[in-house]
Amino acid sequence: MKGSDFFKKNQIINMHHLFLMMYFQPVIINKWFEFRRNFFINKPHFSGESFGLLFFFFLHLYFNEVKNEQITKGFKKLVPQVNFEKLYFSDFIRITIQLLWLIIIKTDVAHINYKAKKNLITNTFIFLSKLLSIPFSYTTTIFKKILNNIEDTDVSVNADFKPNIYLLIISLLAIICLTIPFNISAQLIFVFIMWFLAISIRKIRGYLPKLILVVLSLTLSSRYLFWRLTSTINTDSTVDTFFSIILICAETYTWIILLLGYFQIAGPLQRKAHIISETPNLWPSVDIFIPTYNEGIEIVKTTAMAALNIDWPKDKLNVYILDDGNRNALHKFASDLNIGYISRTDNIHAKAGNINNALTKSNGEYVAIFDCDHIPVRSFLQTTMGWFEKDKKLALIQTPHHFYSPDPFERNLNTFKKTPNENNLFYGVVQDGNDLWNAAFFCGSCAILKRSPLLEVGGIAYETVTEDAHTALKIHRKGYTSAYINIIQASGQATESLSAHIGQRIRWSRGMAQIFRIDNPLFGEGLNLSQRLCYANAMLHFFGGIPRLIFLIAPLAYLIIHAFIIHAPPAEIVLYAIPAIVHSNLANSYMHGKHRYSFWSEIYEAVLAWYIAIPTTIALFKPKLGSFNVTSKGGLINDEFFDLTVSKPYIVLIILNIIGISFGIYRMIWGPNDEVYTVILNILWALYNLLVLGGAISVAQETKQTRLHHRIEVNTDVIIRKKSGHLFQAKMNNYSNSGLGIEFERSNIGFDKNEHIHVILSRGQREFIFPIQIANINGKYIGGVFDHLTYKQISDFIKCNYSRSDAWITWEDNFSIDKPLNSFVEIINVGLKGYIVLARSLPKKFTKHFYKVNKCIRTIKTFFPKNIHDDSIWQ
Amino acid sequence: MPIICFQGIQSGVGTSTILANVARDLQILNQDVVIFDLNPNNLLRLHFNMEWRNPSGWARAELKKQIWHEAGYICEKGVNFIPYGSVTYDEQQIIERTLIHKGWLSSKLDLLNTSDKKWILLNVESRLSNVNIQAMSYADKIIRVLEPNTTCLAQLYESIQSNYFNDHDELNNKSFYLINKIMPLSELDSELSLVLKSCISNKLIPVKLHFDENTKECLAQKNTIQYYAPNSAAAKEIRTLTSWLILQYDKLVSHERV
Repeated sequence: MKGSDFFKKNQIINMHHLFLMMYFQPVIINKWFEFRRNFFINKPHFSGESFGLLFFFFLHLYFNEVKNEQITKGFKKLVPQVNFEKLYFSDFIRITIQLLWLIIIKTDVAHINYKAKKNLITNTFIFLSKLLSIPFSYTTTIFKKILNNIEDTDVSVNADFKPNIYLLIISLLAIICLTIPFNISAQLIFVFIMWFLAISIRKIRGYLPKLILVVLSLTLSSRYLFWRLTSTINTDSTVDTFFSIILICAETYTWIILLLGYFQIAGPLQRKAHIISETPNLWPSVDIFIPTYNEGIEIVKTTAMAALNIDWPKDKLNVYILDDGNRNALHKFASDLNIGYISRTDNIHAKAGNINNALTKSNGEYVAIFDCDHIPVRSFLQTTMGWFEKDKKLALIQTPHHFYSPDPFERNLNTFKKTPNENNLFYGVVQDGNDLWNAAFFCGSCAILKRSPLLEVGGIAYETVTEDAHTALKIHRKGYTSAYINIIQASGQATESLSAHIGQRIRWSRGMAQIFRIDNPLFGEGLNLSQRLCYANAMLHFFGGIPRLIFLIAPLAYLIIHAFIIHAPPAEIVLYAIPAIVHSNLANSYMHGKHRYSFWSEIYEAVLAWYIAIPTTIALFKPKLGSFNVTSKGGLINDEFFDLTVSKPYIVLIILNIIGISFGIYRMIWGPNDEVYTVILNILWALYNLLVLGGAISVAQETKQTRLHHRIEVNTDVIIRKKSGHLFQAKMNNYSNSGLGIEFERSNIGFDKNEHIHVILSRGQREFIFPIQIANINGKYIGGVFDHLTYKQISDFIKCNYSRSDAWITWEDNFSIDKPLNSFVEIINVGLKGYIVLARSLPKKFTKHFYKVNKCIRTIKTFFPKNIHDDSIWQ
Repeated sequence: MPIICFQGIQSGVGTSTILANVARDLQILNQDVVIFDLNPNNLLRLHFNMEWRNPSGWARAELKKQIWHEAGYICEKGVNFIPYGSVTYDEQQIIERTLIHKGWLSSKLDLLNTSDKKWILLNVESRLSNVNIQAMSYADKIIRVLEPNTTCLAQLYESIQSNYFNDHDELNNKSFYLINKIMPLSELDSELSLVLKSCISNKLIPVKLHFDENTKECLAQKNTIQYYAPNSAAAKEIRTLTSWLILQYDKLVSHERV
C-alpha cells in the first residue's frame, strides 16, 4: 500500500503523523499504521505512538537485516560500542542512543533496502546542500565551456600584435583594481563574488583555471597589502608604530614569497624520460660518486652495490666510494668488489672538497652523485642520460630524493604514506616548476652532472654549506641548462629524529642565506630574469623564520600591551585579510594537488621557524661563520620520549599566547565596549596560533624506532624452501638489509624458531635464492634474518628489491588530491594532540588530574553513537 | 572439447604427476575431466588412490575382449580416469602390433566425447609408439614436459622425437613446453632454464614448476598436491598452469564466437 493511498483512505492527517513522517521511514510508517489498525481498532489515538513505532522499526530492522547472521551476532554488530560479555546498566542507554541514531539519522546504514528512501530530515539536508551547490555547479559548467573555447582558439601571434599596448592596458586595469577603495558593503560584495568564482573554478583541472585562481588570489592579497600600507599603519604612539611596522614588514615578506611562489610553480614542466638513440658502444662514460664521512658502513655497501647494478656498459661505468672517514673496512670492501676507493688526508671543505678531490682522480664524461644512503635503481642512467644527448648545453639532471622510511614528522604524527611529507612539495611541484624556467637546481644527491661544465665552474662550490645549490647557480651563470626528471630513481633513509631534522634544515637555511649574501642570484652575470626569481625564492624562503615568529606573537601586541597594530575596524580587517588568506590557500591547494595538503605547511614551517631565524640572520651579516655538519641518519630511538630541548621555544610561545588570551578575556569582560570585536578577532588569531604551536609540540613527541634497518613494505610472491626440500608459497611483506618478513596464507605451517630456510625471489626471468634464519614466528607471519650472505647474494638481493626500476613508482599513488577542510580537521587533531603530549610531560601532581578529566571525557564519549563500518551485516 | 596430450621429452620428467595434479585442479575448478592413460607404465592411477595390486585397465580389458571403457574409475574426489592396466611384456607386444590399428584412438575418444565442456587429458609415454602418434595428432594441444638438464636440452635438438616434430608443422604448432623440477639451489638449473627459455621462448608456458619434496611425498601418499599440501609452492604452480590452460580455451571460445 502506498503512502498516498493510505492517507486517502483515512482522511485523517494530524500533526502527529506529519511529525512521525519526519524521522521515520515512510515504508515503516505505513506498515505501522496497518499494524495499528489491526490491533488497536478502538483506539484511534494510541498513546506512546512514537515509542511503539520505534519498537516496531527496531523489530523490523532486527529481523530484516540480520536474517543471514545469527540474530544476536547481528545485533552486536549494530551496537559496536557495547561489550555484551559484561553488560552495565549504562549500556542500555548506549544501546538506545545507538538505535535512535541508526533509525533516525543513519537510516541508510540501518536499512540497506531503504537507501533510496530516506526520511524527511535526511532528505531536507540533501535537498538543501544540492540547492546550495546549484549556482556553483552552474557557473562551473559555464566556465568549462568558455575555457574550452579559449583553449580551442588559435593563439598564433599575428604580425602587428603589440604586446606593449596590451601590457599597458592590463597594468592600468590592475592598478585600478588594486587601489580603488571600497566601503565595507562594497568590499563584502566584491569578496563574495571573488570567492564564488574561485569555488566554481577550482573544480575544473587545467592550466587556465590555475591561472585564474592565481590571479584572483594575487588581486586579493595585493589589495590587502595596498590597503594595509595606505590606510592601516598606526602612528598614534611610538609603541604602536613600532609593532605596526614590524607586522607590515612580515606581511610584505609573505606577499613577496607568495608572488614568487606562484611564478615558480606556474607551469611545472613534468619532463619525461628520454631514450638514448645511439648504440651502447657510443654511450659516454659515467663515474658514480658515493661520498661518505661517518655513516654506517652497511648503508654505504648497499648503495655501492646498487650503483654497480645500474644498467650501463660495464666498461663505461665506474663506481667510487669517496671516504672522508678513511675506514679500512670500506677500503677492503671496495677492493673486494672492484670499486674505486678515494680517500684523502685532510677533510677541508667537507663534502664539496671530497667530491672535488675525486674529480681530480677520475675521468668519466659524466659524474653521478649519490649520498651514501641513497640507493639508486638500475634504470637511473637509462632514464636520465638521453637528455644530455638531446640538449648539448645541459649540465645537470636532478631526480627526486625519496625516502623509504618515515621522517620525524611522519613518524611522530603517524602520517607516513597518508599525508604527503615535507619533501614532497619540493620534489613534486617546485623543482618541476623550476624546470620550466631552466632553474632546476642541484640537491646534492641523486643527480648527474657533466664533467666539463662542472670543472669550468671550479668543481663543486665550497664557499657555503649548501654546496649543491651554489654549484647549480654557478653552472647556470655560465649559460648551461639544467633539468629535473620527476621519476623516483633512488631511495634513502630519512633523518631519524626531529633534532637531526632541524639540524639539517638549519644547515640548508644557513647555506642559502650565505649564497644570498655572497653570490646573490638577483645580481651578477649570466642569469635571465626567471632564473633570478626562482633562485631568489628558493633562498628567501629560508628567511621565513622571523616573519613566522612575528605572526605567532602578533596578536599579543594588542592583547597584552594594548598596541593597535592594525589601525582599522575589525570588520574591515576580516573582510580584507580572510579573503586574501582563503584565496591563497585555494590557489596553492589547487597547484600543490597531492603533493602538499592545506595547512600542513603551517606546521612544517612553525617547527623550523625559531631554529632557522637566527642562523639565517647571522649568515646574512657574517656569511663566513659556521661549518658543514653531516646529517645523521638511521639511528635508533629505544624509548618513546618527549624532546623537551627542541620544543622549549614553542612552549614559551604557547605560554605567551595563553597569557595573551587570558588578557583578552579580561579585556572582553572589563575592557571598553567598543573594543569587543577587536578582542575577539585577536583571541581567534591567538587560538589559531596555539593550534599550530600544538602541532609543533606533537612532532617533538619522539616515537620508538627500534630497527636499525628500516623495513620497506612490499607485497611480492616468494617461495620458501625448507632444508628438507619442501617448498611453500608465501608473500614477502617487508624487507631490509638485514632480513625480511614473510606471510603465509594459513598459520601452522610447521616452522621452528631459528630454523634455517631459503627464500626464492624472482626478478624478471631469473630466480634468486637467499638463506635466512627464522627469528620470530607469529601466527602466519615469519620474520627472518639473513644467514651470512655472500657479496653476490647481497648484490642479487639489492637487484631484486631496492634497485628494481619499478620499486618506488607506485609510492605516491595512494595520496589523493588535497581536500582543505579535511586537512583542517587533521591539523586540529594534530594541534590538540600536542597539548595532550604537553600535559603528559608535566609533573605527576598535575597529570593525576588530567587523567581523571581524560577518563571522564572518555566515558562520555562511549555514549556517542558510532558508525558501523562492518558491511557483513547486510550480506 | 579440449583434448590435451601430455608427453615428457624423456621419461621420468614428471609428466604423469603434472597431469594428475592438473586434472584434479580442473575438477576443483568445477570442470568435467576424463583422463585416458596411454602410458604402459600405468602409474597415473596411483595419484588417485587406486589399489597397488588392482591390475584392471583398458589394455587388459581389450586383451580379454571385455568392454574397454568399463575399466574407467572415478576417484573419491570425482576425477574420471581410465588406467592402462598392468600388462606383461608379451601382452604389450600384442597390443602394439595387433590391437592398435589406424583410427583406433579416434573411435575411443568419440565414445568419451560426450559434452562440449569435457576435458580429455591423454597421458603419453615419451617414446614414439603407434598409439602415441595417434594421440598427438588427435589432440588439440600437446604439452611437452622438460627438465632443466643437459639431456633434455639435447633431446630437444637431436632425437627421433625432435626430428619427428620438425617434420610435422601441425604438431609443432600445437605443442607447448613446460619446465619441471627446477632445483632452486642449483645454479646450473637456473642457467639451463634460461637457455631453454631462449630456445623455445614463444612456445614456453609461463609457469615454473620447482622440484618440491611435497610432490614426491604426495605420490607416496597416493594423493594429489591440492589435497596433500595445499600451501605448497607446487600446489600454487599447478593452479597457475591450470588457469593458463583454461585461459587458452576461453580465448579459443571467444575467438570462435567473434
